[in-house]
Formats: sequence, structure tokens, C-alpha cells
Amino acid sequence: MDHLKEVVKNRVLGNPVRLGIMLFLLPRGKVPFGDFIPILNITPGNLDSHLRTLERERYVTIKKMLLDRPRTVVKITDFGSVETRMYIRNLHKALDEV
Amino acid sequence: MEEVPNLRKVLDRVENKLIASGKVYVAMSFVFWMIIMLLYFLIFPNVKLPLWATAVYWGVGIVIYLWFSSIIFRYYRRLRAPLNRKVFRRTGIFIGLSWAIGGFVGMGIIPDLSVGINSITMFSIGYLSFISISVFGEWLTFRGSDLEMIPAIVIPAVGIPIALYLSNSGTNPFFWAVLVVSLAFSSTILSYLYSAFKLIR
Repeated sequence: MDHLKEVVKNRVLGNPVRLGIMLFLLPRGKVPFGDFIPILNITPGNLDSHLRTLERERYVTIKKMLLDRPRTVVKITDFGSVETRMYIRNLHKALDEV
Repeated sequence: MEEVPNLRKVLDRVENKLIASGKVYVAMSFVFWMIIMLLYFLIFPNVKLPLWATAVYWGVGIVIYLWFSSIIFRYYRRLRAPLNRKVFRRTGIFIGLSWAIGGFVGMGIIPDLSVGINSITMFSIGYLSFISISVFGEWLTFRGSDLEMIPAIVIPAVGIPIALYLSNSGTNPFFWAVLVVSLAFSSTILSYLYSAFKLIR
């Protein structure tokens, strides 16, 4: 049951929207703010709130970048990628235990 | 309890997509080296350029390749590197070290050996050794998990004795070595793409 405990303990990724954000970011590295909205089907305000939580917990960094126009870009950190992959692994193992 | 198998299926799909993305990124790094190598043979045999231009071409080519690889590597590490944080940080150092050792042995030591073989053949053998040793080191860094890399290790290694044989046959051994590396890298790229598509099918 250790894996299940690890899964429950992670309050950051326990939220499905934040897990969705991290899974969308993992293969891409960095994603403009607006690209999350149609994928996750949430409001910009709600997305901003979840991104601030992820930034506070060092899972992502948020920066203004000049792409086609100045845009807010969300970038995954090394810490965030390791934690997300660990979370998926623990969830998988917890399901095996169940 | 029907949710458990369903959730497991979703997790499997997520994990497979992440692994597949990593494999496509590695394939891209092999493609990039092939572009640099083949572009040389498109330009240089047809245009009379001094020897220093060849040296500049390869110097700039290697720098651009390293820059491109470092970008690819950041993506790859995020998706595939071991989850132990210390090992995760050291992965880049080990890969850099394997290419440095391969470069030192293949491009530094072997071409300078005086064993009675002409310099262009020794340079070709050195180039094949450089690729084989470096990719082998990279393969070891990932604990031998990427079997797709094996053609890029074995084919150049098998090419070394044949390059020695070719030294007396009139064939340009460096041109031949580049074809061997192209074959090796093409096989590796095909293996990576096949594995990636198999995972997401």
C-alpha cells in the first residue's frame, strides 16, 4: 500500500486538471498559456489558478515570451517532470496492489 | 470495480505515448547527424575548396549538432531518464563523456597511429570507431534499454575491418565510412520509429 500512500500524499497532482496540465507539458516542454484552454476545457481564470499552484510547487515556470506576439509560456521543470512520472508510476503500482 | 481496469488502460496509453515521444526525439538527433554528413558529400566533391574549408565545415557541423542534440536531450531526459534524481542529473554528464571518449579515441588516437596504413584509411577507421564507441556509451547510460541503438553500434564496428581491406582496393575509404554510418543511422532511425508507432498503435 506504499504506492497508494504516495499517490494520496501528492496533493498537487491529485487534482485532475493539474495532472492534465503536466501530462500535456511533459512531451512538449513548453506550451503557450492559450493552448491549454481548448484541451482541458477550462476557463482562463481557472487555468491561471492551477498554473500558479504548479509554479509555487516548482513544477513549472511561467514566463512572457515573444513568439508571434508577446505570449505567456508555461515551461515544465526537471523537478516537475520527475514528480509527474513518479506519480504515474505510483498510480500504476497502486492499481496493481488494488 | 470496473474503473480500475479502465484507469489502468488509460495509464498504459499515457505511459506509452510518453515513451513513444522520447523515441521520436532520439530518432531526430540521428537524422540531424545524417543531414550534416550527407550535406558534406553533396557540396565538397563538386566544388573545389581548400582543405581548411573541410575542417571548418566539420567543426561548425559538430557545434551545430551538439547544440541541436542538447535541445533534443532535454526533451528526451524529461521523458525517459531514470527517476532517481541524482541519476537524472548525471545522465547528461555520462552522455557527454561517452562522446568525448569516442572523439578522443576515434578522432584523436587512431588517425595518429603509425601502423603502415595510409592516413585516409586510418581517419576512416577512426571515424567508424568514434561513432561506435560514442553510441555504445550513450546506450550504456540508459542501461541498455534502447535496443534500437544497436545497429548504430554494431554496423560501424563491423565496418572497421572492411575499411582496412578497402585501403588496397582504390575505393575512397572515408566516403565508404560515411555510407556505413548512414546505413547504421538509417537502421536505428527506422527501429526507433517502428517502436514508437508500435507503442501508440
